[in-house]
Amino acid sequence: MLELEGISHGFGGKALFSIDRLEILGGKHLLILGKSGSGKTTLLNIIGGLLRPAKGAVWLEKTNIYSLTNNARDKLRGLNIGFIFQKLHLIPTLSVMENLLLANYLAGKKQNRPHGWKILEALGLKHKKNAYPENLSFGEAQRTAIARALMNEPKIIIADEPTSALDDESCASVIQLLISEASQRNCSLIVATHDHRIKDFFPDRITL
Amino acid sequence: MNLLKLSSSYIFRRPLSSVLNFLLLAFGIGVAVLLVIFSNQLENRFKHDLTGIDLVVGAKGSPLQLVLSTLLHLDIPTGNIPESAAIKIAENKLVWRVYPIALGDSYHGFPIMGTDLLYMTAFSSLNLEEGYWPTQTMEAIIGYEVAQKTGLKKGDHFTGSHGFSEGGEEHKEFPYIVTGVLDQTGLASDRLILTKIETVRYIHAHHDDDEENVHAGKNNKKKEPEITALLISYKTPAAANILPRLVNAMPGLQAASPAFEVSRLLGFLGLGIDTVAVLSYSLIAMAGLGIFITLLKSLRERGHDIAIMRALGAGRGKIFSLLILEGLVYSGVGALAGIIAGHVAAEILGHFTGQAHHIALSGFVFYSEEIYIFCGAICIGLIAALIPAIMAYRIDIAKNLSHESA
Repeated sequence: MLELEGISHGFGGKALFSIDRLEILGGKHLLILGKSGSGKTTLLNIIGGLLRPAKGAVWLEKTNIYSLTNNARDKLRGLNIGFIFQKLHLIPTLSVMENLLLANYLAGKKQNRPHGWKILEALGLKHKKNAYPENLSFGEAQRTAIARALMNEPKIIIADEPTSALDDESCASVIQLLISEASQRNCSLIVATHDHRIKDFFPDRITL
Repeated sequence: MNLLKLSSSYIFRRPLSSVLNFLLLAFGIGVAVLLVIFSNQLENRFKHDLTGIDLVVGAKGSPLQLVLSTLLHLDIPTGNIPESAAIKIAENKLVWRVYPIALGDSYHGFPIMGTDLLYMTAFSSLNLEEGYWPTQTMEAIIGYEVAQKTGLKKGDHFTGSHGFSEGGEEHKEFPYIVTGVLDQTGLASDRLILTKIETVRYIHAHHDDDEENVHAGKNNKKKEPEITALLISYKTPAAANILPRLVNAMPGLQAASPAFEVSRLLGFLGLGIDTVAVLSYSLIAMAGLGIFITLLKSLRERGHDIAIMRALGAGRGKIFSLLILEGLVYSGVGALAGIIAGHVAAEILGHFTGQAHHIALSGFVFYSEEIYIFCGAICIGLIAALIPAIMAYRIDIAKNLSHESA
């Protein structure tokens, strides 16, 4: 479903990493391990259609995403890829539910409030639907970010360091939550981390 | 969820600077709108008061004063002219209609004007709500405001006093009877008491007789009848070249063109209006700068938000529109508030100026210039938001999302 071909990227003429070929099948998960500065986030951005690689192509199903126009790529990303960033990046001026609906709106989909309720319920956040990000605990904010990533029923969820700020217990529960939510929806989860605590959850791993 | 809601959410997020932006713009627009209302209504009223009169002939003095006193009733007359001279002018072939008027007395500050039935019925703006036009001496009809302020109604009696301010010597032995009340016009006639010219002459003939008795022996010559001024309508436009020169050549007489004098007056006022207008434009420009700075400053805090919106599928165009819309919401709401404030201010101000200067402003009339002011304000918002919007358009998503830069 997702295929990387001859990707290399670097800054200032120095190659940071290069990947000859990488394929992720539908519904399969992938862990990208690497130290800080090894280019994990850069690779996630390339996969997610946020950063054009210096060399190589990214195929999502039959589409070479960097051959698309900017607008078409933005649209494709909105519809097919859900992001969970290390800094959660909830929109501070919008409530939890509005943050979820924003994902629908910006991807050009119909705003599906009942779907939002369902997701919030599954993540134990239904009572927080009208709360603003500043009034959420870190755990609640993280689950809101996960909920937002699920809103458009993406084929791929990309998570950047989802567990690095968490204690062991939360770490395990968050990664289990992510995997179970992704699996239920037949969605590929791609996690980049330097956190070795979670590597046993992923049979497929690469190291940068 | 839509762009407008998203834009507004950021505006509400920073209430203090938003309120400041709104206030600055609303104030600037409010003053501009007030000026539009003021100059339009002033001009409008003056123009209507002049309708049908091409020339005023009166005693020598300031031509502006002559027009102000005889047509707008905002000043005292320049003096009187002999009736014989007026008749001579009236017989000129270039004259279509003449209306003699006699001023001199007032009632509670409202001028009493003696004229003839032709004047009273010549102008469509003068309508009798009830009653009848004066046909007998000592009969009078009163303007709408006179009736409102003094409580006089048809059938009531009142006595005029000498001069135009309250407290003048009363002509107690000559009571008027009100035969009708004029419809409201919003013009000078609202503040006028109209009577037959013979009435004014009758009162003053007797009054002057008394005085002459006091100063017996000094001057027993029978005085020639006088009027205050003669209002003239031309038969042909060509009269404008000839009649004034003819009148000005007669001893003690002057001719004043109402149109010319009023445009001269509005010119004087225009200087003041222009000064205030410059002030209001500066305020509007400052408001634009305020919007620009607010958006630019917010852009620094919002790099992440914008990047996440891009990640969620928003194209560059949508981000650009988001910032532009924020500028438009600022300017649109500010301008709307300003227009409302301007009209409220005009209505309140009109209440006071109506009492003090006899020029009533109304806040309930809208002018086409206000559309231009509104569009101008929208443009200011657009221009203020343009650079921040272009910067938002160009934001590097990957850089703003990576935790290294966060």
